[in-house]
Amino acid sequence: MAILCLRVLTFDGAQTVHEMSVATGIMNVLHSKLSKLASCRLTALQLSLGELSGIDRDSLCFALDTLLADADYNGVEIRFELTPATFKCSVCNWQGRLESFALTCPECAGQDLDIIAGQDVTLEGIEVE
Amino acid sequence: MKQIDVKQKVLNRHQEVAQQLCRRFDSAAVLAINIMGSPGCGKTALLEIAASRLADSCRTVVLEGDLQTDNDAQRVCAAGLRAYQINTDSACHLDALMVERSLKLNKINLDDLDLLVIENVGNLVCPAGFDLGEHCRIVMSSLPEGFDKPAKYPRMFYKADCVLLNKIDLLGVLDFDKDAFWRFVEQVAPKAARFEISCKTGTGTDAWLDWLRQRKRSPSETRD
Repeated sequence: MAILCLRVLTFDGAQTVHEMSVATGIMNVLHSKLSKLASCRLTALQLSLGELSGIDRDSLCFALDTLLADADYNGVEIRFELTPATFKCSVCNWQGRLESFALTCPECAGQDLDIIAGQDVTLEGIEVE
Repeated sequence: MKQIDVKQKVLNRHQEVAQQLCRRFDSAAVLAINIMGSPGCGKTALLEIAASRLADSCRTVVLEGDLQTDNDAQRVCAAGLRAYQINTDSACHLDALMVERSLKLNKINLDDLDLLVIENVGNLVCPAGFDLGEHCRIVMSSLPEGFDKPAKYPRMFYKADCVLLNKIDLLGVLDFDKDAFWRFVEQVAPKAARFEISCKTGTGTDAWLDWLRQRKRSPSETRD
């Protein structure tokens, strides 16, 4: 039995490759923040990039440069800091980094580790003048 | 010059929508599963081979994610399930906003469903970073991809509820170290259910469907 329900939903514009999606998200946060400020010129962005965010820094920078220029924000400095991947053991509460992604607690050998940092991209702050 | 703190996660909106979706799935008692894996690993083939058994046992809708074409939705429809295509244009993953929009535009009433299957865009990197509100993350790999994919792409396999190793019928043909594959899975997803399947011969697919039926009983208990 064939059930025909083939309406195709297409997403365009704002959503492109992964880094462009994230860059679009940064621009949304930025617009929201700047709209609440009196007239000023954006000079810098400070971003933290999780080690496990799956984001390529150079690609994100390229995408952001493009979107910033499109929105008439020129000469904006983009600064990055890396957030290390940090794990927590739910058995013994150990917290720390792992040398590899083998999810075994170095303290108790438990295998119930959660990632508690290093997955996100965060707009930490902006500079304006 | 003035410095202004923002401290906002960039994909917050996606996470909020994912949580809203999960609450909607829970209140309608719909089990939502997110199937991820490389292009060509056999995600759509799994739905095709399981279609008649799924259609007999529960009210199922499939959302198919691809950059272009409705080929996969057509295949799944032809196999007997309701399926809707989401074309991401050039995006390498589905996100919660896309799923929400597809449910709305296709007028999918969750109260009329038991199971929502979301087949993600074929990719072992980006889909791992986007919560779709699902209860179960199912990651599929296949023999031609090589046995070290869980080690190379740990974030995809991390927190998988189920890992499927497809094309197991090729074991005698390809140089694939099955034990090493499962050792890598053990390192990054020690709690995941594991199935060796062949969507060509049907091997292992009944066992996977039995596992899925078990999950169906209490979807709200299955989400981490």
